[in-house]
Amino acid sequence: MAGALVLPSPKFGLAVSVLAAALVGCGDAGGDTVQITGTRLGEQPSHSARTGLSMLERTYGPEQVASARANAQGNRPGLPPSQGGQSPLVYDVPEGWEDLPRAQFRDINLRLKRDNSAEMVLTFLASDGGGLVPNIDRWRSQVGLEPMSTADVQALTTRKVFGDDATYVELFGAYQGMKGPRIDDGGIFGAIISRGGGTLFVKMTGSRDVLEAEREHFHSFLDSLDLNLDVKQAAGSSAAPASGGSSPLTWTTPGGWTEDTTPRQFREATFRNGAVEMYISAVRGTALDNITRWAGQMGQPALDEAALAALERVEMMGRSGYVYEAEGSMKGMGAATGTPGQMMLAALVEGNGQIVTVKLTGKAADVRAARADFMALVTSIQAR
Amino acid sequence: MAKKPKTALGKLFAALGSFWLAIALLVNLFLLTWLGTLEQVDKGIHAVQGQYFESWLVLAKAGPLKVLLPGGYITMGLLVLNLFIGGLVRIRKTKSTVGIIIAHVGIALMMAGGLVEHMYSIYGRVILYEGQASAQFEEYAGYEVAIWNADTLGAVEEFLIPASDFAGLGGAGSRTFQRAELPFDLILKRYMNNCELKEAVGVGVPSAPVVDGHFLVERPDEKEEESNFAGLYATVVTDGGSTVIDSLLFGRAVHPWVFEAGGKKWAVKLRHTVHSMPFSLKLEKFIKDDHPGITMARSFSSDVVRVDADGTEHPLRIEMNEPLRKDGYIIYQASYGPQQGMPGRPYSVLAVSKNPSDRIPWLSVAVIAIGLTWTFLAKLLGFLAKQKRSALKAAQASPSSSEGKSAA
Repeated sequence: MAGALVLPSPKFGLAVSVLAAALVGCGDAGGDTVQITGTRLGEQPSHSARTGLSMLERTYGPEQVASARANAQGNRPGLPPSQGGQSPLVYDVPEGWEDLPRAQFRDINLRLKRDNSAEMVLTFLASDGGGLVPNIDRWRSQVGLEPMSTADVQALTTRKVFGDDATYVELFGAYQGMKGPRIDDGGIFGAIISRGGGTLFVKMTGSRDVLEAEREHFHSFLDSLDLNLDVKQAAGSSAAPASGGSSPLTWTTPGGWTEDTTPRQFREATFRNGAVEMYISAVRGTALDNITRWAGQMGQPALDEAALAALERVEMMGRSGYVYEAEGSMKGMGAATGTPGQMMLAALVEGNGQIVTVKLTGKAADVRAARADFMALVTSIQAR
Repeated sequence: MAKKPKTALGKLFAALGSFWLAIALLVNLFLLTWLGTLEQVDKGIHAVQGQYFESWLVLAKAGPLKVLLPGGYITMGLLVLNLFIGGLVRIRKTKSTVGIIIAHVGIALMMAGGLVEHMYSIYGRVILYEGQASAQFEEYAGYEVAIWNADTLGAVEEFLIPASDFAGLGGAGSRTFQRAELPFDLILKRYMNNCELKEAVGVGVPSAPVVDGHFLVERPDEKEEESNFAGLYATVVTDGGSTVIDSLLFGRAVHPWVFEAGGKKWAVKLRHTVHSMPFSLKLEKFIKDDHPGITMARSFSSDVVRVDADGTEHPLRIEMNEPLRKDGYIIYQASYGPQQGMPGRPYSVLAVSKNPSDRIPWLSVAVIAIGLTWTFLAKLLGFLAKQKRSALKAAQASPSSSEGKSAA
């Protein structure tokens, strides 16, 4: 048998084949289709689903994201807040650039398609942001340049942005921004303008070649900046007193209640039945902030996300709304002391940055007696 | 002593049941425990538990050296064999070894209990606000994907995808999930055991596909398993394939991904695995007793009402070291909130463990105690009997010798 090749037996070959098949099966390459077999009856508080949330809002909660942004940027005086996902600004996206979602400190967020390291960013701060000179010096330091004197800064050129004169700079050097890699031969083109108590920063960053090539696009972008009039008008109209006829909502007045048609600020409609009053409001805000405010009026502790999720729910305008009720000493807006023996029954639904609320207040016994009417009103509300 | 084996199988059988193998395995177990405890400082308990005890072999770190040792599976497997063969099969069955055999049965029972716990136990928690009730708890670390109709108010049927169906979908792997009640297919891909959500701006070229301006970046596992945040890329295909919606499922997300399909709103969430209990707990009152003058708790407890499946209510108190035990579930007082005197509604955190072998350690220790008591008593009685016999023998021998001496 010397020199003869020892072949494996058929059984061995079969075993190897089976083993090979098993090993292939071990790798979870997927690509297959699986039927979902597991089910469970979910408890109500565990599955409150809110629509229209961004990825960040889904992750950390819209209230927390709004709070973090407000802390970082203030309330953007001079610019209306966004509504229903609409940007408070309108602008032309230059050719060759892509419009990315807004992010923290990036109210407009553009990126050059052919070179991802080049960006145009607009940031609005609710303060002076430290002042013009320090901010120019901050940009200069990002490209390795020395600070400028106040006189030098005042001598800088200007460009029209939002119809006002903005200080305009073109700085070149080794650019190192807050994020991203260092660009050895890069720079910043930027404009700074103070408006309405806030400060607007618009800048384009990237390599020198790109900045030179995109200068005209940056200027055209600056020229195109304007306020989104739709949002501006919507912001104005929601703060104005609403009358029943002009309200964006419809409802059915519960039997035994009288609709008070007197226009009142922040109220869509007011209803009375003896000494008990309930009313509908549609304002901007978040559920957590408003219910926490109500809790404060009733001397109750503030709510957090989990407490909010644990509240009773009601179907309201086709969405899942919250029901809040508390009994105790109630303080009106600005009052130092409360009225004991009161009760608040309120419902609220969120949507597109707005909330619609229905609130019933009065003596505890009266409010309890009117609960069925309150819920009937809540469930009858619809958008026009 | 058993007969000396002559065949190879017999010798192997004898070696597996030998006293020396038992000693070697116990020494190895000691090394695994010792070196694992030292390495736990750097790696965390979960990683070391997996590396040292839930493994076949382990490259253990012994100071500057790396030592290849049999892992927990091999060690415990051989120990079970050794105990079974040496302590139950090959051992002499006589009156004097009855106690030893009983003690070995107790040890085997304890090891079986450990195996059952390893395979079937679940640990998690339930958070309850005063007045809130729940019959469910969530695991600390395990994940599942849950899908439900977001239009529904109140209790709703959730469709569940266990981690075993998506945990292997790393890299380019993907899997499509269907169910007759769902008007869409859900494709899951790019599973990450621990990841971070990043905004796709100012980061150069993102390392993963960007969805809604964000992407997930894989991170090394954390020391503590419950600190890992899993992530998945998800795609919904509906309307016969004409509508495709992408999103990210991030284990840290508070809110689910909500989309419309088939005229309804649907929610999908990657979350810690939820389990149902055969009873519900309602928190009546959370009681916290602070140290004088500060907000640090001296003790805390929860007054709850346990509502059984038949509707009967049982008011009881759960406090530290006084858990609730019911139907294989143990519910401990674990934590509370808001912490550090922060404002907000008080809530209680109850740790839930479901361990089918919860009582096995008690039982096995009792059996071992019986076996050892039997053995020691047998030895003691044997010794006393031997003493008595010696004394009797000495007493019997003593008069004759004195008589002999006198006679002499």
